Formats: sequence, C-alpha cells, structure tokens
Amino acid sequence: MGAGSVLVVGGGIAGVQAALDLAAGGFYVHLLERGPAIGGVMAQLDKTFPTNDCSMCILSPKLVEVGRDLNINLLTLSEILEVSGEPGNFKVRIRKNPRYVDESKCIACGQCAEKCPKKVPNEFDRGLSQRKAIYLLYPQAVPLKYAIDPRHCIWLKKPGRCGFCAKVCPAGAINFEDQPQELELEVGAIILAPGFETYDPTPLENFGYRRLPYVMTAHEFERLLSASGPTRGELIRLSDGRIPRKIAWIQCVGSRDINRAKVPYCSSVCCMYALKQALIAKEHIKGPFEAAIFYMDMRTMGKGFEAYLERARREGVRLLRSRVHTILPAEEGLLLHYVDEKGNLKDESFDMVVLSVGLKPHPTLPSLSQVLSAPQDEFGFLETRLLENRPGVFVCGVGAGPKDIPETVVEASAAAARVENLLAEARHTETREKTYPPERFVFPEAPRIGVFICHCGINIASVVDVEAVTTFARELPDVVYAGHNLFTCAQDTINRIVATIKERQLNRVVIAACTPRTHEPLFQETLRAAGLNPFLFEMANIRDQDSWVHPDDPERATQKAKELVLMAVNRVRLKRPVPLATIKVRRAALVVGGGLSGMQAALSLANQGFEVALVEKSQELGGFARRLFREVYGKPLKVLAEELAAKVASHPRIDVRLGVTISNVEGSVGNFRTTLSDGNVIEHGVVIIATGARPYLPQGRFAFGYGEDKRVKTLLEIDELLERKDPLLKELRQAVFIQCVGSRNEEHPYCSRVCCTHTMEQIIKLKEINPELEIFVLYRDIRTFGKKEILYQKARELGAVFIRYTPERMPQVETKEGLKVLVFDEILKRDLVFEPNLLILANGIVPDAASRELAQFYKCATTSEGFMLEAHLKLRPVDFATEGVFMAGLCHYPKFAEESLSQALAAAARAATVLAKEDLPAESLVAQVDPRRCTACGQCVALCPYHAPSLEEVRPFGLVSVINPSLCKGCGNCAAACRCGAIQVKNLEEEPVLAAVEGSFGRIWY
Amino acid sequence: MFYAVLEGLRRFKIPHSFKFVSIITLYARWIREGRLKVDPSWNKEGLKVTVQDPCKLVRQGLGDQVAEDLRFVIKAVVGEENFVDVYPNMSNNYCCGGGGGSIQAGFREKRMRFGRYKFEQVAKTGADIVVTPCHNCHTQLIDLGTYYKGKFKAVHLWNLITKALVR
Repeated sequence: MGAGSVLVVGGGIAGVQAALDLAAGGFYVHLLERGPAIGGVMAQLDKTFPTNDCSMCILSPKLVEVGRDLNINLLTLSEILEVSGEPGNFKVRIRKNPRYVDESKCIACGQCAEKCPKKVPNEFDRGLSQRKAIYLLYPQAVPLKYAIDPRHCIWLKKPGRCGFCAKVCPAGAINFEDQPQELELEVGAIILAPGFETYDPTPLENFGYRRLPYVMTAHEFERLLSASGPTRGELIRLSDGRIPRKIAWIQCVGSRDINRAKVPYCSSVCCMYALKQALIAKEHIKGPFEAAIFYMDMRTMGKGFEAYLERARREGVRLLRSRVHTILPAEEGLLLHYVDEKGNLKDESFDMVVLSVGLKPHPTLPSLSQVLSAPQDEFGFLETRLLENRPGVFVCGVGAGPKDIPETVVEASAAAARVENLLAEARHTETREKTYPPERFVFPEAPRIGVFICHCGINIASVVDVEAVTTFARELPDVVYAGHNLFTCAQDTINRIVATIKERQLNRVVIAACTPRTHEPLFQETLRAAGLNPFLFEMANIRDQDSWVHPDDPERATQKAKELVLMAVNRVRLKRPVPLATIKVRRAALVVGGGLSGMQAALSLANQGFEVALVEKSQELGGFARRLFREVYGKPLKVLAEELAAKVASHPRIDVRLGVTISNVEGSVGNFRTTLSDGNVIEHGVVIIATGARPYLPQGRFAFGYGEDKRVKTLLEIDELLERKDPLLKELRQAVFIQCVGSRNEEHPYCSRVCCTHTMEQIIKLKEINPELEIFVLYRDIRTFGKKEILYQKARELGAVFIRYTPERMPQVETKEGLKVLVFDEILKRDLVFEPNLLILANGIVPDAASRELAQFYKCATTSEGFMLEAHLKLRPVDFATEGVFMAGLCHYPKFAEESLSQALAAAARAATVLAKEDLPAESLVAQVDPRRCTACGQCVALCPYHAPSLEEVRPFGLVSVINPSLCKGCGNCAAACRCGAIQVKNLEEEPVLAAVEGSFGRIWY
Repeated sequence: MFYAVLEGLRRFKIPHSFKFVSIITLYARWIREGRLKVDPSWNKEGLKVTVQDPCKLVRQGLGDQVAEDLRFVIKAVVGEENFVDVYPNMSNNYCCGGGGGSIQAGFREKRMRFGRYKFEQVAKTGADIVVTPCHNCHTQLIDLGTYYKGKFKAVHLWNLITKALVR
C-alpha cells in the first residue's frame, strides 16, 4: 500500500507544480512545507522577467488550487524525521510542529495580530519590516491561517503573561497547548523541491553590506518594489525616506567568484532580474531616474531574454562591463570606483546600490540529504541524473542547481512524470473524488431565494447591523428565507445551509459574507451538495468591500450592505442553471517529431500506460541528437539517442510512423482527429509537438569564409572530427572560435543558449587531443550559465584565450591568401591578426520553417522568430494556449539535450493530466452566439486568444460565428467586442448584470 | 619571492611539509611574548602613522591575519593613539599601483595614474608616515608622495621597530 501516493517536499513553485500535476494525474500527494504557508521565494518577488507579470498574481491561483485540491494533503510547519523502505513503498516519519492556531477555526480576520504586543523582524520582507509574534506569512498565504511564532510569543515563553490573541479571537482558534505531532506516511515516491537561499554578502566587506546605508541585496530590493512590501511598493531609501534617483546594480555577488565568495558557478538568473529591477524601478520613480548595471558577461540566454536586454538598453539602462572594487560612503549616497571600457578610472556617486546576490543551496539541504541519503554535488546542491537523485527520489527546482522559474516549472512537471512512470500501476488507487447528489431540475420553478448573511465573527457584525440587513432581505420579493450566521464558512453552518435549501425548496442562493475570491468555490460546492446547480448562486461581499473599508460609519455601511444584498438578489433571480460541461477523453496521445524530445515524451506516456502514436517525417528516429558529440548523464548523446530509439521502436504501446507528416487536424482537447500525409487518421486526446529545430548555416554577413575555405567549420563539423579522433586535430597549431554566428543579430535576435557551453566542451576535448594547440575564442558575452561555468573555468585553465568583440566591429575573415582572422581587441584597443589552421564558427540554432504550419493545424501560436509559443512563459512553459496541446525540445527554444529530456517528461506529465481522466471537466461558462443577431463581422475570430470562434455557414442564418465550447475559456473578450450584442458569456448575461446595476441604485428589478 | 613560492605551491598543489610565516607575524609574537621589547615613547611629536597592506602579502598571500599582526606591531611601536587606519583596509585595501614590474619598466606616468586612489586614500588619513612591509609599495608610495606633493613619508616596518627598540 502507499504506492498511489507521493510525498513532495517543499512548497515553493516547484513543489506546488509537481503536486498539482501529480494530483491531476491520479495520485494522492502529501505536500510538505517547513514554513506556515506555501509559496516559497516566488511569493516574495515583485514582478517576473521577461513578461513583467506580477509574481503574486500568477502564483496565487496555483496556491489556491493546491489549498482546494481534495487529493493534496498540505502539511505545513513540517519536517521529515526518517525515511525507510524502497521505491514504491517508502515509509516516512514526519513531525508537524504546532501552529498554536486551530486551522479549522481561524478565519484570518487578523484581530490577533493587531492586538499582539510583540514585534519581530519580518523574514518575508527580508527583515525590512516588522510583523507580530502571531502572524500571517503574507496576505495571500495558503493556508490562509495565522500562526504563532514560538520563538517570540510572550505567552509561550511565560504562560500567563500575555494571551491577548486568545482574548480577542472571535473564533476561539488560539490553542497555546498545541503540541508537535508525529505522522507516519506510506508513499510510493518522493519529490524534493527544497529551494534555495540567496547569498549573504556580509563577508565581502568591500561592498559594505550591513555597514553602509543604501547598500542592499536584490532580494531585499524585490521586497522594496513589491506592493505588499515594507513601503507598499513605494521605492524609497528606508533609512532616510528619500527617493533614490540613481541606482547601481553590481552583478555576480556570490556567483562566479572563486576568489573570495568561493562560489564558482553562475547563478543563471541575476542578469535578468537586475535588468528587470532596473526597468521596474524606472516605472516606480516619477521624474528623473538613472540605472546602471555593473557586470562581467550579460547572460540573457533564455526565451525572450535577449529582447528584454535590448529593451532595457533602449530605455536607457546603462550597462557597464566592469567589476566594482569598493563601495565607499559619500555625502548623501555612495561612491563607486570603477574602470570603464576605455580603461579610464571613474568615480561615480549613486543614491543606492543593489547587490545582485546569487543562489545558494538551502541551508536545510545537508540535513535533508542525510535523512534521505540523497547525495549532494560539490556545490551542495542535490545530485540528479534526469531528475533522479536515487531510486524513487526525484529532485526539481533550484535544489538541484541554479535556474529560473520556467525551468523550475518544467523540472517539477518532469519529476511528476518520472514518478508517474514509476507508479503507473497505482494510478487512481488512493485518490478521492467528491460525489454529489443528482441535480434538481429547477427550470420551471418560480424563483425561491434564500439569503444567508454572515457575521464573520465581529468582522462584519461590529460595523454592519446584520439583523437589519436580514430583515431587509426577508422583505424582498421571491426571498423565502433569510438568516444570519456567526461563521458561514464553518462546517456546521454549511451543513445547516444544505438542510435549509432542501427544507425550503430554495432554488436560488445569496450569501452575503466575505469575498468570492476565496469562498465562492466553497459555497458553490454547498449548493451542489444540496442538489442545486452551482451557478444559481450569488455572493455579496459585505466584508472586504463594506465593513472593512467603512468601520467608522456603521449606519451607512449597513445601508451599503443592504444595497449589496439587493444587487445580489436582483441578479440571482434572473440566473439560469448552467450544465457542468465535461468532455469524453480519447485516452491516447500523438507525438509529432521523433527526435530526443519526441522519443522521451512518447516513452514516458507509453510507460504510464497510454497508447501513443509517434510521427516522424524522416526515415529514422533520433533526430539531431545523433549528430552531436557530447556526454549526457555520463553517456555519449548518440548512444543515449540510439537506446531511446530502440526502446521506442519495440514498445508495445507506441505506434511509430516514419516518413509521414501531418496534413490535417480536426477536433479539440480530448478528441483530436489528425490526418497524416499517407492518408491514415489518428484519433487522440492530446498531442505533443516536438519537431525540433535546425543548425544555422553560416551565410552572408555571417559567413566568415564558410564554404570558401575548408579550414572554416561549424561546431557540428568539429563534433564529427572529434568523434572520430581525426588525425588532423593532432597536427593543428592554432584554432580560432567565433561565437554568436547566427545569433543575437537582426536576422536572429535571440541567444542560441548552447553554443558557448559547447565551445568550452570542444576546447577541453581539443586540448586533450593536442595540448600544444593555441586556442583563441572571439566572443561577445560568454554565457556558460549555472554549473556550466566550471567548463569555462576549465577552458581558461587549459590556456584558451578569450578576446571580446562588439557587433559594431565584427571579426573579419580573409581567405584569399591563406586564412586570416582580423579582430579588434576591446581591451588592448588594437587590431589582432590570426592565421589559424582551423576557424570554428559557433553557429546558432534556428527554428524549423515547418513549425509554424504545424502550429496552425492545432490552432497554436508561434513567436515572431518562429519558435512555438507557450501559454505562459513563466508558469505554463510546455503548454500551448490551446488545451490538450503541449511542446518539448528545440521547437520551443534552443536548449541542451538535458533540458529537452526534462521538457519532454514535463510535456508527458501535463498530457497525463488530461489522459488520466475519462471525462475532462471543461469550462462551463463559455461564450455563445445568438445566430439571429450575428453579422459575421469576424471581430470575435480576430480577438479570441484561444481560437474558439470561427465563421461558418449555419442554416438558416447564413455565415455566422460559431464558438467551439471545448476551446472557449469564458474570458469574455468576444462578448465585450461584439458590436451586435450577439455574444453572451453564460452566467454573465446582460440581463442579470443590468439587474444588479439597478440594485446598486436601490431598485428592485424583476 | 615569498608570494611566488607560496602561490606556486598552492596553484600546482605541490606537497610540502613547511609553513609560510611572515616575519611580521613573528614580530607580533615576539612582542606579545616579551622577547622583542619595544617602547613607543620615542614618538614624542605624536607622528601619525598609517599603513599600506601589500596585495601579495595580504589579499593574495596570507589574508587578514597578517594585516592584523601588522597593525598590532605598528601600534606597539608608535603608540596606539598615533595609528590611523585607511579605508578600505586589510584584504579590501587598494593596490598601490606600482606592481607588475612597472617600477622597473619605466611606465612612470601610468604608474602615477594608477596610484591616484592610493595617494588620495593615504593623504585623507592626514598621517605623517605610511608603513609598508613591501619593497614595491615602498618605492611607489615615495614616488606618489613626491608626484602629488603629499606630506607623508613611506617607511618600512623595521625602520620604526629600530626606533622603538628597548636595550
């Protein structure tokens, strides 16, 4: 037993994503978090690059989903004590530390924290503000429950001394007697997502952190920018309240520093977050503002990152390639000494300096590693091979090495896929499903409205006269019941509401209480439990929008509460039941592309027990991986690809179709019908696109003599020479590399991510074969991010010389009289001429032209460069905006084989969330067209981000818009834009909304 | 010599059975143990003394410990109240600007430009004497003082110890 459940350790974005994917894929999840709430570091961030989305706003829905998922058991304030057993059958002993607040009673009203006399530094704000000893980690915390910090609570240290919180708590939730509990869980697998901490720059005294005012870390600066931070998002210097008009960022603080910080790796994210902070700071500060970033190499190697760098440059962010020696105190600010690119010494004063601190393994990792016997690498991160640390234990996120949010999310989904492969047979053995009584048919009934008004302890009742509002509601037409409760969300009240609905034969329900943001799903479930359609429901927010904002004017607050209730009653009266939509799922997958990603995705899904069809346009599986000469997980990539190909070809559940392409697609999620070029039709519920990309062929301005001189070769051609240990290599005297060939230019304005690292790998191999070989690398920025930095260090140690060029002065290659390479050295400020025996062009990766056409078949979008466009760059990195379509590998963006494999697994996990179900819950509140009114103007077709509407011939109306309900997400774009009022979104029709508006003027409306 | 050997052993990981100790650390130990008797009372005029931390000795060599010993010895020989430290200091101190063979190689103009921060930093302390236990820094600081017309003199550590020796 236990094989159907999984333990996920760590409640940051990685743990959250893994838990959600596993729960949706049919596994029961225990999500363990050491703090009082989940959310991790991402919850602390202000905005996220490169979309500048509000971090909290995109994270919060996922957290709420975790909180509400019946198959996720949230264990906060918990730690692992002991693990025994083996994959498929682990026993885990856990200690759940006391919260001292009863989670089932706390209503998060906050009165306890208001009365608590003990102020302590707020770690969520990195100590920049204070909180109380009883606290909510942050306003959107999940679970939304207060906790007492036993290190600071006066009562817990000296019982009898304080106890104010217990006195004021309206719910009686405070429990000073709370004790630690030990739990024993049986799980089939474990996913570790332990996260990281940021580097503490105190030991680097030259930067003056903690000693000089106005020097702060980027992590602190993030809180300073945040609307929930210590200044509510006002960007000021905390010590004197002045607006910093000139801010400097210093990169690589605690990264790429083998000298003092002893952190050899690159932290991967700091270049981008510094650019983001500079841009956001500029938005925050009205009036003049200057931002300067002092850096070594600008590492913007992710999707959309290079464009972001260009944007920052355009908006005037100064980028200074210089290492700052010392920060000195100066009048009203700070003085920086640095050497500019011309070699001049400069003094410049700034109002504030932000240290771009790197990512370090979380301090709890050594003990976690010990308890789980999970090995750590030389830097203290957890070791992984394709996400596996040891059998049955998987690692995702920064716990395995520095990386950004999208990569973390990919790894989390991929770890879920590996677990699902391991435990495939136990799927759905331990999950629970909520069952409801059959829905009552209320259509012919006259409205019978019930109104339930909440005191919310004293949150509402201390301001609003709840009695008067109840009397008012009772008098309204069609209201057959009105009552009030102390806590409407308490379980006993919920049971009473169910009973009342049945007794009084209510067919519409209004709840006047807190906010639908947190409570609407709970009350809708209550309706379903009573046999009512959940959309015959309306909430009036008389707390957040009334009692909380008008505490000083009870009389008018009561009046407002009445009007809010009237609005809800007016609206609910006109509401109609909306059937809950489901889609029958054809539980088979189609994978397009037989390269590394496609094979891995197909294999993962097949091992999970699903039928897979794999379509490859060439006559052979393996794709690009067969041509690269590098080691992946200790194995030559070619061998790995061949092994995968053999497994795929012989798998009983994988149907491989070679030499075919896709010629037509019909249907949508759950039921696709794809026609192949050979005329065969495949029926499938989901599709994974893994069509790969191509190497850039040096040409035009970027030919550098390629094709003219045999000594000019691309990286791939060198791979061939290296692989067969060509004797030519031993005879070479000098080799020159040119980086960014076909990357970061007007034609291909993005970084190809892999070329720098692959160059280092080749340098090391070349030096092994021929130690006397002179190697020069002409580069713009070396982008060996993460642990790949070690390869760069190794290449330098082996004697490779790195010479920087700028796009304004490209290296020139002459082939007429022998091979000559001319480059202007930016440091020596003079021209250098090389006469190498070998010129290696580090050519980039370009999208396949066929990708765009394929994307259109599945109604998916591509980027302007021609790569596949995901639903969300941060949090849905392998999903398309179109449901049921996923992506993996190079068709998404240039990436390493390791990353392609992870992404393929992630796509498989995401696909499994659809395939695991027989019926897929679909969006019920979709838009629908009244064909009598539609003029076929096509606005809706142009606007819809999900390609749901299309213009079709419908008898007898002629050409009209038809909206595919399985693609519609109910966003309402089309309804708002429709100029003839033909489109309405269910449950948000015009009539009930207008009735509510009437209610806001105090008018009853039928 | 000292640094070259030390760094050579470290970089090429050459096994060796001996330790590297600076004479400064020995001075400090001997003063503490009372074997080297020094008395700051010679400094009747209350000459203010500051210090230069040589890169090869401190930042790249033996670290902050030797810099602290250096300060201990200076304080013992000139009087604690007469010592003024520079900022930044010890491992974070500025390079004098005269390394890399530039003193011998004749890049005087450049050498003076590179040393401007060093000069300004020392001048800011108002010290009459800057102590440096490095031959290279010593020459550079004397040149800087002349070039930028500073009032400080550069001396070696042993110069001051001889002044303070108790017979």
